[in-house]
Amino acid sequence: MEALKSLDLSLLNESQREAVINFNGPFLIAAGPGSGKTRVIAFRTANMILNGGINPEEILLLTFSKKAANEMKERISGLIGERSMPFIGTFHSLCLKILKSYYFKLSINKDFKIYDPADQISVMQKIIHDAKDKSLKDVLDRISYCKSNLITPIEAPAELQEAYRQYQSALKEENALDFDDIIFKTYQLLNKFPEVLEKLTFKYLMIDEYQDTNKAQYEVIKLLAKRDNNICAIGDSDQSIYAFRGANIQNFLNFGDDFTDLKLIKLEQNYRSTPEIIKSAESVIEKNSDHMQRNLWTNKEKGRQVILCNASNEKAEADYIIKTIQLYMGGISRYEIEAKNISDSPIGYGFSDFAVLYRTHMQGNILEESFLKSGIPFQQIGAENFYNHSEIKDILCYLRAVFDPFDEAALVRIINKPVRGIGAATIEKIRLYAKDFGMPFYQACQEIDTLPLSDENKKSLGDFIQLFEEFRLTATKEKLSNLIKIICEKIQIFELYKDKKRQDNIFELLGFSVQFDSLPPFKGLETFIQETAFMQDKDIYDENKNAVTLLTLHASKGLEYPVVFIAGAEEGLIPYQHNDENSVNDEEERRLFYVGMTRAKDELHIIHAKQRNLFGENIEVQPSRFLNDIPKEIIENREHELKVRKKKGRNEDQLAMW
Amino acid sequence: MKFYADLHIHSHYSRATSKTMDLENLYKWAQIKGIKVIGTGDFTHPRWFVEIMEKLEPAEEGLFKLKEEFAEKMDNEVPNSCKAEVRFILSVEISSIYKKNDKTRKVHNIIFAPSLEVASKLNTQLGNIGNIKSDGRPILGLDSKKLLEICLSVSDKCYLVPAHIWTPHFAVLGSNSGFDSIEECYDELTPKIFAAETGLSSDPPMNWRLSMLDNITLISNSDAHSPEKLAREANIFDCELSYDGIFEALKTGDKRKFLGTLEFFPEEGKYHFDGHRPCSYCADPKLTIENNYLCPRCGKRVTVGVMHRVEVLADREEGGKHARAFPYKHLIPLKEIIGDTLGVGPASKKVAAAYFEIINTLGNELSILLDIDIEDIKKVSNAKIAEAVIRVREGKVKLFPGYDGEYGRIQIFARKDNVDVKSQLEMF
Repeated sequence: MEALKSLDLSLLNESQREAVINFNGPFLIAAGPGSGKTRVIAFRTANMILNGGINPEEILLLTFSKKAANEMKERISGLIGERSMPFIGTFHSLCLKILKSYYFKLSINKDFKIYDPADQISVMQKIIHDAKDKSLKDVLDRISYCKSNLITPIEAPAELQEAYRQYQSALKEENALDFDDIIFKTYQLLNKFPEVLEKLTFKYLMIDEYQDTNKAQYEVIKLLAKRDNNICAIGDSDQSIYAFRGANIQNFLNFGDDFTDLKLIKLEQNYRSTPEIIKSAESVIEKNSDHMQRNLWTNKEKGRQVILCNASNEKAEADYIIKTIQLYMGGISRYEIEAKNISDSPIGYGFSDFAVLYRTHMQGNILEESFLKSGIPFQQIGAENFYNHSEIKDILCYLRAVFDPFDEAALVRIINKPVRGIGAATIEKIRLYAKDFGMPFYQACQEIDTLPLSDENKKSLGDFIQLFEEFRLTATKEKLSNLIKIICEKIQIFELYKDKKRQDNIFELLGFSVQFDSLPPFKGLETFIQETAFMQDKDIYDENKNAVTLLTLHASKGLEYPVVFIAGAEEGLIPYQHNDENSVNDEEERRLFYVGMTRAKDELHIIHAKQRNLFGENIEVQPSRFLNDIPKEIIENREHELKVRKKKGRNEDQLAMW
Repeated sequence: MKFYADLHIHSHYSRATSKTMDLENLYKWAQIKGIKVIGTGDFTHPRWFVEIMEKLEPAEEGLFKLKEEFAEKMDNEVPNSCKAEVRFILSVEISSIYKKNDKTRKVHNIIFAPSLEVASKLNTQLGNIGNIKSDGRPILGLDSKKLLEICLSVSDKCYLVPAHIWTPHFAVLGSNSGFDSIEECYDELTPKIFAAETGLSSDPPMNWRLSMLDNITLISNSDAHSPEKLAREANIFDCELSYDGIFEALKTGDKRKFLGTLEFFPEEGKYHFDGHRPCSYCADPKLTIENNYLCPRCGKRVTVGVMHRVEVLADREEGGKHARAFPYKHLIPLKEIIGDTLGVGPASKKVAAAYFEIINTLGNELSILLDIDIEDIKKVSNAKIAEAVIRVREGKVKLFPGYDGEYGRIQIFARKDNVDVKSQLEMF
């Protein structure tokens, strides 16, 4: 048997140690940003197993995401060695496990399916026939909100009841649960059947990111903790940013109401940021009424002041960010180096040391454009997958249909692209015909003479089929890249899509196809379709990639970077104002800004513009109210304008980025 | 077959590159200059890649030629005296910026691909790592060694050649952000490096001072951003005209197949000596050391040039030669020679006129600079230009070294020689 691995508690500070060695009873660990929360959770768990005589199966550790769960598993196995692992997962994975064992008690079928958002919309579409995707999503969001708050159809608002009821019936009929059901049903199970609770082995509960739990999750936890009362909630109420998903900050703040003798431990030493960054962030968050009093501090040496840059407009904003990165990298091309004689950065930053945070995806798009022009390697979290772009989907659907005319989804997408006079009504007629005679859609198309269409429509359809059959013939004879070229030319795709970025994408797809040219014609087509289908699902963000990260404030949670830029620190964006509402959720937005600020290790640059192009107009914008809360003495003020270089002739660049 | 090759150029999709760097003009100027094999450059750029697909067709294995329908349009712009076959080879320069061993490194590497399929596969992988659509020479946060690994994984004929290895800011041996040896950069993959580009700022004898380069064939290319600059450096081959033929010659260093290089005078290169451009301060390595690497005029650090860097890394005395020491010749572009002779800038109309007078009659530029009899030049042009060509052939020129990004200058005639320039002008 392996010798007991011992935990080196000397690595911990006093508060961390207190959190790690105490595990009987209820605890609330309020962990400020960068305070070593992950280490504390890992050590606490390991300590329970190694020194506390607790069996791993008696421990339950709930994390915010699968990624967090995996990271935690790695850390803990590093500490406990060969022993078996406790249950570490998300609420959903826990509840799913419970439901899979006790489904019969709730009259759910054994092999129930789990519906994702796409599936949910399909279900809703059958209930509310003539609605667009967006309104379907709205209804689903409202139902989700109800379920997060343990509200059944009868208890729901009157106007929602019917849709909610029908939706649940439909799910039951299809033997399916959606994500919210997984939690809701688990609650119902544990609440109604205490004997199930008794059977569960969990004696010690830990919940990370507790500030982002919703009511349903909270009630499940309460039930789980009832028997042994050993529960530890860890989080930071100042980083609660998921109210829009139903998270309830009161869960955290009022934790003591449900658990008597609650011990509160505050982790206040920040290991991440400079004193200036911490001071500026704390000054901002202190203004929130539900801010828990604490004294965040650091041992780190004094750093630079927080930089507040006033840019003339959003282009100047992007320019400032890009120029700063180039400067810190010591120049990324000889043009900057020779023009300004930038000497190499002594700090030795890499591209992945920089992050640019913004409030909305719209801002992200504009920043993406600037970064593309600059040549700086970057990756964007939440970026649209290449294969989801309209122009690419169109080409792929042509290829799919050419390969297999019975791929109805593909055929229907392109049959009227470019517009050929085969509109939605015509398509519907063909569909009905196909259904009546029990034949595939394309076969129905070919029966032009008997289709109930006008002469004009029949002609359009005939022309399409002729073109389409030409493509099919070409596919058997030409190599793939030629086929794609021919299709692009015949459908005049560069007229359909005139935007340069979209055209760039089309060129990229064409170049990509060349590697399949060595395969025989039809085989190349088949392989290409398979490969691209696979790529549609690939996750884009790669934390090991050596590139600047562009992401929303929400997505930045849990991450850290030496140099952070927060763009668009203006009223309307930070805090964000929805078009149709007059109110701004000031407290939540303040927390969101706080999360952004506390991502920075060495330097924080906050940029706000004088003018911003919104909805096609250049509008004057005001700096964010939150900026007033940053002490003046920590701020270094800067201004930045875009310098336009006059065109010089043959060798001029595009609009100067430097 | 004997031919000249310029393997590193940039298309009009690269930053600060002439709009005329398209395939048709490359086809035209390669003939005027006397180049048989020319790199396409920039094949990672999606639009350039498609242009290549459209306008080139396979010729000898691994090489391409301009399709007839596009060549026709240019043929009347190529003097009959220069007409020759032109071949393209797929190439691209990648800028890698990354941290290794606690320092920021910036290295440029040239990649060659034997076919469009291989290039397409490589582009897919590089496209996943960074942005290859904005600039014909993309910047990637990718370790050079990893880049080499990717090349090897895509095809064993996908070759990597470090570019202009001495440039201070963007080269494997660069003083500012390079390494102190090839091996430090490519680790256990170093044996895969069989060739390296010397760059404008160095010539072979400088490189021969480093034993670490003994098994590497030194090549020279123009790195041209405009057609005029093509073949300002070039390689001389006498081998089978094919991708494999060229690379076999480079890999083996067979002196019958790789005959050497044509070089810029290294002094003309903009990083030859040390200096600080903002202060117009230029220094040879000794002076720099005396001044403690600082500019005496402003106190900032000087940019260390190539001479100095070679001195620091050299493990052999000057004049050393070794097995893979190939012949080389120094060149000055003909327009610059003419310009210096006439006392005007090389871009002037007078120079262009004189230039084409000679080219149209006698043939392509490299043949004029290297082979053609002086008497023949005198018959077509004036005696002074002919004399200038000889002087350059014999290396009898005055050199003002470049430094810190400032190009160096050459003077073929001392000022007083130009006294009769005016009378010659009347001939034009």
